[in-house]
Amino acid sequence: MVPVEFYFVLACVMFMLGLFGALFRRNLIMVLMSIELMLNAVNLVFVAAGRATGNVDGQVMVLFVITVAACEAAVGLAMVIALFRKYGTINTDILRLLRG
Amino acid sequence: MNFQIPQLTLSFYGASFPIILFCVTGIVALLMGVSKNYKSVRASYWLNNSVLVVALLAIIRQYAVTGAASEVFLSGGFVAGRLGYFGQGVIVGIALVVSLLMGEGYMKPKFFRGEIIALFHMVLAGMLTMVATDDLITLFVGLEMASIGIYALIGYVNPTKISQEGAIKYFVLGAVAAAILLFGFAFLYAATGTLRISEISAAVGKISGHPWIELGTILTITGIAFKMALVPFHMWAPDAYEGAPTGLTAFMATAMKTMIMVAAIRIFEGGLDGVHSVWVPVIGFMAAASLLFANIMALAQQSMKRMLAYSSIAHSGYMALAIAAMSGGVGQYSVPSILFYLMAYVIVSLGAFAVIMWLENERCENIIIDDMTGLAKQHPYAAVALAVFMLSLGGMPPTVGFISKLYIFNAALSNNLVGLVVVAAIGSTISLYYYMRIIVRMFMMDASPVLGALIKPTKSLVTTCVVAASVLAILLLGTILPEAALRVAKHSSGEVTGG
Repeated sequence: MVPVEFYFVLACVMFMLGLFGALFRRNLIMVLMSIELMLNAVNLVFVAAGRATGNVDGQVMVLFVITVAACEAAVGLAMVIALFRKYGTINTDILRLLRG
Repeated sequence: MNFQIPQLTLSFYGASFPIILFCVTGIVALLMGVSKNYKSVRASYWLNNSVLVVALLAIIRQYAVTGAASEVFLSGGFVAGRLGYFGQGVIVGIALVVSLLMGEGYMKPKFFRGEIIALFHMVLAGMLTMVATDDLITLFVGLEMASIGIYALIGYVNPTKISQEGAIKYFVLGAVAAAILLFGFAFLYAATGTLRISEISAAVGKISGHPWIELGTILTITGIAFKMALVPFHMWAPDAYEGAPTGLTAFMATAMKTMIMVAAIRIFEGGLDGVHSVWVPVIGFMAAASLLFANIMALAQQSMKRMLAYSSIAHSGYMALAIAAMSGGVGQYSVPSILFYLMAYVIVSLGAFAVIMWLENERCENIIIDDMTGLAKQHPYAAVALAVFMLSLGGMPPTVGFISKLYIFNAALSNNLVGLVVVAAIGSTISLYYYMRIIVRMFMMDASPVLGALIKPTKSLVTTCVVAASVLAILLLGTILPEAALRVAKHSSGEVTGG
């Protein structure tokens, strides 16, 4: 059996990739995908930890996280569409009305 | 692995009535929005306000009948205790005041639409869930119900370029914060094998020093700090506060802060007190950074809302200072001081935002500080009220702002956080400059005719009542009644401090 730490290391790598993507990507669709990657890293930790401790709460949490991630993606995509209608682009560089 | 069918008794429905009510009325409001007969602004207005009044009365009754011991339902999913009802009452009270103020100005037809009220009630249901739970799953779902609804509301109530930009910036950073918080929960779960806050508390005592629990604690505090808008993680707050319609800004600055503070008290005092050597330096650093940086940034602001956003980051810093002082089993001083500070901050902020909302109109959606010039000559009562609010935010003696800071400093000193108190005092001194600047403009300068013509507020009974009530509360709580309010705060905090 693969030790549980391996899953955690993999999850940390995925999470960091997602974090850097979410903070440094300029395209909003890529930002949304990076956020999904972060949430999937979280799911991996929950499933692995639930399996390791023999406790079912982790698996239950994953179902909730998937649901919430879907809601977040829906609202995020709606905002991206609204932004595209106003500006004709979904690059984050155009968001410069609010500063300081 | 034991599966129990939860017993849903009548007392559960009584205890969680406000949450169920908001879920139901959210759906009703959505249906009203698409129906032919009940689509009107008036129908949404009356539905919203009557539901809020009913929920507030129900929460006050529950608060009064709840004993010192909290009752746990759904194996930790819902906790009927005084701290939860305190948070719920403050949140619903804020929602009621904000709705009444929204019903006065030019935003009324934009805000009182079926779909907006549906989102608003779902947000409230999420907030009420989050403050009254012992389970990290429920806490996360409540947090996301509140946050996702708020993202949508900011961009959707008044879809201008500026509010959509604020919404998108808030959305991206809020989603990242939620993921970080969840990653922290995942490691806490991996280390302790449970998602109940009270069980985590029992487990961390035995296994402190474990790397997973330290990683989980650090990530959890980072996620909470994002949501509290503490300084390295505050970037979203000024943008979201400036972009949102002012009523929603008031709601976010007060209700979101109440929600996240009560949840932070539960997590850190109720769950992670055993590993306080890990999180106290982190939150202490963030509190100091917020107090200095936010107050310095606020000096340079022109927009009133943006200035109040930086001011709200600084006030988060004071509350974070008290959270740092909670560690090591001396929560009986600092938890009441946080709740007292929250009450004071909510009252003052609602008053200040009520004045700003009253000054706004379609042509002038973002009041800048120059617009305040000479306000005392045109509208003396409003100017005096705003001066009281500014003095209270700055922490001057006859107001509640002074007493609430005193309690926070007292709690921090009783835990030997002398350095942080010195930083807080310096930050407080810096903040006086930008609060005083507004008072100077209002009372000691003549208005330029161009600016004076832009702002022509009409008389409004609701605004007058809200402003008068909050001025009265500030002065009374600051002089003769602080003991009574502190007793309420102590009474509410007994649930986690065990007093």
